Amino acid sequence: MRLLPFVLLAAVTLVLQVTLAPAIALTSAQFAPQLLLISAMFIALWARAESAMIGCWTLGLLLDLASGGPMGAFAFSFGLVGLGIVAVRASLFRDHLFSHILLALVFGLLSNTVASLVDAVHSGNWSLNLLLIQPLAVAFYTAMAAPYMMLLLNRFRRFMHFPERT
Amino acid sequence: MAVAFLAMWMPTRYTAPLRNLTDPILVPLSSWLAGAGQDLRRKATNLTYRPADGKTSRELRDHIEELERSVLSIQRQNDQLLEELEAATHLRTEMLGPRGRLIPADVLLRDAVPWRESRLIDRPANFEPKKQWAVSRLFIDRGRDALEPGGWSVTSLSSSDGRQLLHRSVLVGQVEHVGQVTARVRLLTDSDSRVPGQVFSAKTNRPGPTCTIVGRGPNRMVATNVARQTSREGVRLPEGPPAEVGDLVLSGPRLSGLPIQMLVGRVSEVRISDENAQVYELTVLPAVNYSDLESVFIVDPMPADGGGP
Repeated sequence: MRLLPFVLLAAVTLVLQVTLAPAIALTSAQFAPQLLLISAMFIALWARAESAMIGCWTLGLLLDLASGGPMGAFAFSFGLVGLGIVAVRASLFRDHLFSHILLALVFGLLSNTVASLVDAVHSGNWSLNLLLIQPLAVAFYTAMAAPYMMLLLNRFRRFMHFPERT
Repeated sequence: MAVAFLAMWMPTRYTAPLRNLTDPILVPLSSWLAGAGQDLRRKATNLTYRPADGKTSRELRDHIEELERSVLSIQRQNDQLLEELEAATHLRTEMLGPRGRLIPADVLLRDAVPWRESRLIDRPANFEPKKQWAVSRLFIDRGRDALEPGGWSVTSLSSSDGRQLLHRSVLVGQVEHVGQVTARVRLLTDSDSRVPGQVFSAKTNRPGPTCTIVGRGPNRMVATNVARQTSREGVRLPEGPPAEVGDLVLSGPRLSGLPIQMLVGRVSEVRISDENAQVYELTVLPAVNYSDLESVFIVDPMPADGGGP
């Protein structure tokens, strides 16, 4: 995976996360898709294992930098996402939209739960809304948006210079 | 991964400066994209709008004229209330003395994480990093807005304009971190936000019990530890919950950094606390829509004499 395309992907996705995602948020509770997670999923599916984990970790760090919560929560959780997807990707049809939906739902829930657990420890707020409902709703919305964004990202796969076989 | 795991448990004051690295790049890109999006939306609205036939246009004009008459009537009532408020404020100022200033700041970005409630604002000039409060205007003075070229300027609280502005504002959050060009405001609805508050009865127009306002996510707060008052001014109060739906929730009476008690929201639900049956919890709806915050004022409690405008 080349550095410049990854940096461009990260920058564009981060900007879209803070501008487009709130605009398409649902309900007054502001459930918005996590576009950075979908990009991390894209990297983890196609890049080499080491590059995938570093890339996912970096995208998580960018999300931490653009947020007001504890630093490192999403960097850690996106790293876990990268580890998990790299471990199971050989068993998946990587181009199938059902795979994208399933991965986004499962790993979205995982990363959101880890981050919200860290938020709960820092704030002392152990409400069900923060620990379960919000992460689940955001993961679900992310899963719904994943096929569309993956369709777009797959068109630019060749610019990322992913290896032929991983 | 280990670094990230360690960073999660470090105090925020050590990790927050890292955010200064991305703000100078992220903010201009996001502003350009948001502006382009608004232009596209405006053009799309113009394309799809079809003028109604003559009958519908006449009804619309009548409706608009009726609304304008209502607005004028409300403005007259508002002016009268403002005169009374001005008299009360003048008395308080004579007793306690005005201090501080209001610094305008534009809201640039929301928090990137959906369930965290914070806003990135542009750092005002001559703004010292302290835990100042952020307020949002409740009443929009379109005439005054038109007269202020380039937006609002720093307003001293010793001036009539400054006091009026503060009294017509709603408390929305607290400055959490100040960078080189931006600052982050943690809203009252953030799960990490805990602010002393007080219930104000809309029925009796009297202050009620104190409480702690805790954020519970987007557009939602809870006032906790609301104890039932048994008597007020020597008069025994009837049994019942300490607040009713529709009561106001204000900031605490002695909140550091705020010269007056400010409106926070309105009670929408009253229930007994799960942890302690002797106290109540109130669901509080914010007085303004935090999702549409475009600009705020920072209440800077600097001395008014010789320190600023």
